[in-house]
Parts: sequence; C-alpha cells; structure tokens
Amino acid sequence: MSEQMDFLRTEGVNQRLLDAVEDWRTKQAPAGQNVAHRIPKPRYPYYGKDVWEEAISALLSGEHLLLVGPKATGKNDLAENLSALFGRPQWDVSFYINTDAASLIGTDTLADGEVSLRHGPIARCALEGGFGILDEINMAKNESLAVLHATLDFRRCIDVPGYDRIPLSDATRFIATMNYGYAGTRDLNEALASRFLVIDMPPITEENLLKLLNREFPGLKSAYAQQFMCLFTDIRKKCDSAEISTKALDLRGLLAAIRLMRQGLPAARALELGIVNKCFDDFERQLVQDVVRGRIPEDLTGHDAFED
Amino acid sequence: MEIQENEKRRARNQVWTAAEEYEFEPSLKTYDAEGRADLYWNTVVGCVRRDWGGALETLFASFEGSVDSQLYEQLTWLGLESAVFDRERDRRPAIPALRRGYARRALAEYEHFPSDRPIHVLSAGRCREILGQDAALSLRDSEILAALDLPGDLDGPALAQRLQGVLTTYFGYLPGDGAQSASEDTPTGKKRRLFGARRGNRVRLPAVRGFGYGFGEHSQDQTGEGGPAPLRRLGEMTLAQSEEALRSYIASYFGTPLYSKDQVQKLEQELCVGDHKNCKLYYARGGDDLDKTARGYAGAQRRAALKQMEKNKAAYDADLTRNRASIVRLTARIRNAMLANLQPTVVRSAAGVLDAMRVWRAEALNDDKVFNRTLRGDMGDLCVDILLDSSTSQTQRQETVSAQGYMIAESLTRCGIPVRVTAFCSLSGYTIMTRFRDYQETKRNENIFHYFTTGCNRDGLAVRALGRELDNAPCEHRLVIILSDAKPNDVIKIARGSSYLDYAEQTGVLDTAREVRVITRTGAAVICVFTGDDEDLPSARTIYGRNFTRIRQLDQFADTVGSLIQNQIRNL
Repeated sequence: MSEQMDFLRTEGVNQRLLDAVEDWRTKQAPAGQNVAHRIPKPRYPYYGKDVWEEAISALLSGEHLLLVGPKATGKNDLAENLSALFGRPQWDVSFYINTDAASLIGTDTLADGEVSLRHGPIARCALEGGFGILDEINMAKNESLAVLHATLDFRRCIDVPGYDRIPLSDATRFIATMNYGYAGTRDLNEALASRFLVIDMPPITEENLLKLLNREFPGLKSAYAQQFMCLFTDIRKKCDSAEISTKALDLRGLLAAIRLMRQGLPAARALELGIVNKCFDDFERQLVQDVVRGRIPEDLTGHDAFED
Repeated sequence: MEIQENEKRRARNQVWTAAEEYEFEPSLKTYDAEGRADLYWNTVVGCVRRDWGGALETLFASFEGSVDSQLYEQLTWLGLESAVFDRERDRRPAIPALRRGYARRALAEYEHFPSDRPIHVLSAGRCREILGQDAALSLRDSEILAALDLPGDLDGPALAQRLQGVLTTYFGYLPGDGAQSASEDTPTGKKRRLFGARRGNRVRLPAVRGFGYGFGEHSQDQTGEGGPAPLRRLGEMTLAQSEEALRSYIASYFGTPLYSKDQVQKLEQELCVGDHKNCKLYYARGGDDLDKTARGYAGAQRRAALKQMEKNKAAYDADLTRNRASIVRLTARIRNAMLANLQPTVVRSAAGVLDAMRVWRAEALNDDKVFNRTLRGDMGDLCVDILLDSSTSQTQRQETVSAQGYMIAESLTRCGIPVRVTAFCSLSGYTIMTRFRDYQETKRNENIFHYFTTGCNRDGLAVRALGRELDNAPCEHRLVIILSDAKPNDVIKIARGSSYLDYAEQTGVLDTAREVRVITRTGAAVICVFTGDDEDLPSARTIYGRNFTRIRQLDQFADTVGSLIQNQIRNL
C-alpha cells in the first residue's frame, strides 16, 4: 500500500485525501483470512490525478461509483487500484444480457441434504466488506438489476425472499463500469443511475501514456516510447473518426506487444499479435497495419528498442 | 488506371493518419504502379498538410491550367518529400525504412521502363541518393536535385518561395496568380506560359494521373453542375397554393395516400406538437403509379421520380453478383445471430429453482441436480423498421441508399423477420412518409427501388411518426434501422418564445437525438447506417451514440451492417 501511496503522492493527489484513506482503513475490520487473497495487487497504476481525487472522495463518503467511458480509458484499472488502495477484497462481476438476480445474489442449492442459499458475488461482497466491480453494468437488462436497488441506496441491504436480510458491511462499496453507447449496451435507467456517483473517464493523455510506458518498460528507449504512444494516439483518432472499430484500440495489447519485443520477437510480429490481429475484418486489419508501419520500422527488434 | 475503392479508402486513411486530422478530403492520394495505396507518399502528403497546409495552396493553384502543370506539381512534391523527410526522420523512426522501400521500388520501375522525362530522371536520381548510390545525373540535373533538397525547418511561405525559385530558374515557371492574362508581360519581360489566354482552353488533367512511377488521385471540384439543389427554399409554386392544392400536388408527386384524411388528422394532432408545431404529415403508398391527370410541374416531378426508380434498379442490377453475395452474407449473419439467441434454455443444475419432482433423487441417488436453471434465450418476436432519408442531400446517393435498403430488407425477409420500409422527406411544411412495404408484404421488397429524393428532411418528426407506428408493431422486440446522412434541415422553424430557430444544424440534430432517445426508451433499438460525409460524423454520433456504422463501399456492406444487426439481436 505504501508504494501505491507514494505513487499517488508523486501524481499530486491531495494529501488530505490520502490521509483520510489511511484513517478509513484503520477503522474498518480487516479482510478475513479466507478472502485476503482477493485484495488486488494492480498490474498497472491508474494515471489521472483528478479522477483519483474524485473517486477517493466519493468512496470515503460512502458512495458507489459508476465509471463511464469508452474503451481503453482505464475503468477496470482504476477500480482495481481503488480496491487495493482501500485494502478491500474485490469481487468482479461481469454483466451480460442474461445476468439475473440469482447470478448476482445467489441461488438455492443442496448442502447436507438441505436446500440452502449459495451466495452470489454481491452477497459475498456485502458480507465480507468487499469492493464489488460491476463490469459493463449496462450489458444487463434493467429489470434484472432492480434487485440491486436496495443494496445500492441508503438501505444498504440485500433482501432475499425466504432468507434473512443481508446488511452491507460498512466497508462495502460497488464500482460499476460502463461504456455508454457501445454496441450491445443499453441506457441505464434513472433509478439505477441515481444510486451511483458518475465519473466520466477521460481517455488516457499522451503524457500519462508515456509515463505508463516508462514505468512498465524502464529500459525502453525514449524515442520508441514516444512512437508507441503516438501509435496508440493514431489508432484512437482512427476509431474516433469511425474509420475502424475499437478492436485495435487495445492498450493491454500494446503493452503485451512491447513485452513480446523485449522477449525477442521483432516489432512487426509483436504488434501484429497485440494490436493488428485484434481486427477480424481484413480491410480494417490493413488500415491498422498501415498505421503501425507508418510509425514503427518493420525490422525493429527488442535489441534496438531497449537500452539493455 | 482503375483504382479500387478499398485502395482509395486506404490511401485516404494513410493521409489522414499522417495529417492527424480526418475532416478533409485529401487533395492528393498516391498509389504505386499496381494501384495499391502508397504508404510512404501518402504519409508525405499527410505531413505536408499538417505542417504547411494552406501556405502551399496558392503555389499548387498557380499550376492549374498550365501545359506543364503536371511537371511543376511533381517537381514540387519531389521537393516537399525531401523537406518532410528531413523533418520527420527523427520523429518517425519508420520513415527512413519506408523511404528506402519506396526508392527501391521506384528505381526498379525506372530500370524496367527507362524514361528521359525530367521528372523521371530526377526521381530516379533521388532514389539512387536515398539508396546511397551515385545519382548518375547530368550536372544540370544534379543542380536541380540539390536545389530540390529542402530543409524541413522552413515555414510554409519560405518553402513555397524556394520551390517557386527552382521552378522558375530551371523550368521557366513564372509565379503569379492564375487569373492574370497569359499575354501580360512579366517583370522579367518573359511571356507567361500558363493561365490567362489559355484559360478558355484550359488543360484539364484527369483526376488519376501519373505520379512518379505510380499514380496520384487528385480531388475534383465537387461543386458546379449537377450539385444538390438548395435545400432550404420553398418552391414558390407550391407556396402560393392552397392547402388542398398542396395535398393534391403531394399525392401526384409521391403516390396515393396510405391513411384516410381523418387518420392523418389524428396523427397530426398527436405528433405535430412542441418543436414540430405547424408541421403536417402525409403518408404515401410508395410505388410506380402515375396519375395520368397530373400535369405541369407535379407531373414532371413524378415522371422524374419514376425515371430515378429505373436508375436505382439498373444500378443495382449492374452489380448484381456482388449485391447478391452481400444479401447471402447478411442473411447468414442474421440467421446465425438468431439461432444463437433462440436456443431453449431450461437446464438442470445443482443450484437454481428447486424442482420438487426430482428432490427424491438427491436422497436416493445422491444426484444433486434437483434444481432448474432458466437461461433466458428465446429472443421472442422481432420486427424491423427501415427508415430511409429521401431528402435532396441524398441526391448523389440515391442508387446506393435504395440498394442498401433493399439488401437489408431482403436479408431480413429471408430470415423470416417482418420488415417495414419507409422513406421520409419534407416539402412545403409536410413531412412525407412513403411506405414501400409493410411487415406482412414479403413480396414487395423490390418496391424499395422506387426510392427517390426531394425536398428537406425533418428527421425529428419522421422519427417521432415512426415511433408512433411502432406502438402497433406486432412483435415484442422492435429494431429501427435508419439510413441517413444525419443532416436534419427543414423550412418550418421552431418557435422559442417570441423568436424562431431554424430547424437545421445543431438544433435539428439535437431534436432528432431526442426523438431517437424517446424510441429507445420504449425498448426499441435504433441503429443508423450513416450515408453522409465526414463533416456530419459528429452529428451522427450525437444522434445515435455508437449505434451507427458507415459504409464507404458496398463490398463491406454485409459485414458491417451484419455486425450491427447481430449486436442488436444479441441484445434483445
């Protein structure tokens, strides 16, 4: 945690907020042994001082968060980073069209010959004081999510017919993510949306992307870090202008490709695996390939791109 | 050289990427000898646009009309290429390799087809230089090439001046604006070799012409004859007429009414309110009927519309193989999406809703699968409404829009999905909804070729009117596909207190976006097949969010629209 605190201090996040987080942590019951492994160790830090401050303030105030933004804005990374910062176990719930109350709260099952409730991720999160990440919440039907209304508002409880009422632990928070207007998604209804504070996630800035690349790959030559940053920006612009889909706009894919380069794979092939081949349409793939070729020399190897 | 559509789009993208902007049509797109988009040169074109843009426009414009314009243009690009390379080599590590690749290809072409044309000789010399070889040029040519080796740190005017200097010194080019007469004496006493006197008989170069050893496609002037008629003018002829005469004119022009007068009146009372106050509705039955009694303007308009209908069908038939393949592919995609969503879904499981009939198995057979789990899969009935924007702004695309509408309707029909197809436009305050086929009319898809464009488009009212008709749709799930250029525009203004706002641009876009949201809130899905230009992309985004797709060429139609429909079906 102290490493994460140091990172946030370096990023310029308000010290009073960071102190409040430490204070909050000391006041909460520590996560149980059985769920301690659920406290995440984020793979990537989230860059963005303002968003950090907004999110920390909201969670400290007992609110739930809805992170809204297009692909590659770091919604899940921020959620994971927040769970880690607050030191709470995390439950990931990926929403899809058939998500229903049973898959969220729990279903009946047999235990020792008796029918009992097998807790779903939301119920476990409520009991263990966890952070529940409701990923792509607007993929599910609104009517299926009505079951969460009492959980997310001031009642802070889960009431399952035929079973006891489950109160939410004081430490429990829910962080939902959604990509508004993305194909296959729908509008969140007002009842649900009003139970969250909404953060409009900005795309990662060029400066922050560069920071991320330098942090992830300390040996990467700055000229190439700059090129990979520009490559990602070029692809984003192409997506924004509706020339290609967002399949190639994949920051994780870009980082993985650089990692492959470090392992010795030539840049062209690494970027094919990490970025270009994400497009299944031949023509789209060609457009992305052109963007890559316009930025990264085809014969570039890890040896050229890394200092060590 | 016939350049394939996908290579044109690819070239355009290469220029845009380098220029770092997408809201313009590149004035030059380059291709190699085989007609493939040339990444290196298109990157150069994009960088020139980004770094020097407007400063060079005058220089290029001054070549127009000259017999040597192609030579000047290519020499200028030879100079610009060196400046771009000098500026970009440190910014883009890929550039040196791309340049060498270009040089190798061009030199191979030169050696295969030797030429003594100055531009070829100089380009070959430059290519040799790039590859580290001796340029093998005469003293004069070496001098010219050296003069065309320009530093990248010059600003636009300085760069233009240097280029002009080279052209003047070595090729007799005389700077000046093209409007001046060729007979005018220049300050140096030489006669102009271009412009003026020859303007009446200007050398018109083809759009696609030689460029180095490949080809360059130059954007053509889009304005002029045959361009769309002004959108926002009320025909005086119709304005002066009475309400009744106007309705009769519209009936002659668009076809017999679909609903009775009373029905339409009721709909108007319900729909023509708020921002659409003072508007009227007319529902026409689309077809090829011609009112023989229609004379004068109305008759002529109708006959022109019928002619367009023939053109639509002919254009579709001209590409029949490709279009049929698109229908087959689109049908397959929709069918797959439906199958994936139609599977029965009650499964036995160890958790879920207790199945009392099977409880004994837990005790007697130690079988814990005594619960049922319902995986909701049946997507229920689906019907689709296709709404075609038939305003004048679509005039250039009539054949394309009708073909796209037909292909979607035919594919859905083949999948057994009821489809209703309606076109909309507005004329003299009337929003006209032309119905080409209704849900149950499975044999009337070809009627969609009776699509023609005219007048303005009050998208918000058309969407609202369609939304009203969706209430009576026979299916549980409703999908609306709108083929539009996202450019609402109508003559009836919106009253805001004592002032009036034009129904155009942002006001029209926001109104349409609102009406689309109203439909989506009822549970129907709305997607758009965007048929407009780059400049209208933000409007499409405002109205449809990401639920729109853009078809730049019909080859990709099935896959692109298929994905969009597939996503919506999955979502039902």
